[in-house]
Amino acid sequence: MSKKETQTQVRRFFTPRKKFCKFCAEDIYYIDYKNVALLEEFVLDKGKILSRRMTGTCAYHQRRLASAIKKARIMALLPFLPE
Amino acid sequence: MRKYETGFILSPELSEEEIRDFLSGVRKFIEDSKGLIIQEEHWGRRALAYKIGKFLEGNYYFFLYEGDPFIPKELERRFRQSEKVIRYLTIRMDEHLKKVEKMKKLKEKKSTKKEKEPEKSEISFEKLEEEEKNE
Repeated sequence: MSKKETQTQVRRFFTPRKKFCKFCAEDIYYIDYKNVALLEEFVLDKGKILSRRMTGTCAYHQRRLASAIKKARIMALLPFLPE
Repeated sequence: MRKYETGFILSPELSEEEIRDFLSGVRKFIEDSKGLIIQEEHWGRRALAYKIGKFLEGNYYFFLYEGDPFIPKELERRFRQSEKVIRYLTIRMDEHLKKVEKMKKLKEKKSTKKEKEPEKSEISFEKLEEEEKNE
């Protein structure tokens, strides 16, 4: 009895929002590494690639997104490290 | 025949004429070796995300073309030798596009399935109405 009560009593600090895969929603299948504005949404200022848990991207697109970001880094479109 | 996309960054110290000559050289090489240029993208001068050598800026150019595998190989060899190119990257596009089409088909199948389901319910609803009339 006490267990159930404590579970319901846990305070929520934020309202959970349903995340969705941006690429599925917009029907983007080929993620171009030249589209810097799009890739920047999935990268921290630190240069890190945001996880799927954070952005809600599906597995298929996350794989492609990661490789696109890495290509963009090679071509100096995105930073490897913050300056 | 395969599809490739080669992008390269030219040194910011080059004059416009030198850039034009270099680009026409690339174009000529692809066409001479029976390749077909599908698209060219000229971004021009752009800030680099990080320092490459001593440069903070570069001239970006992208070529999308179709041809035999030795074309990108030879192009990259030339890029490596010339000091005008700071960075280059070649991607094979046809395999990418194949996978993309596969995914599109899968999604279409899913969406058609979803469309069919409500039709079924409509039919059954009509049937119900008919049955009611009959009664």
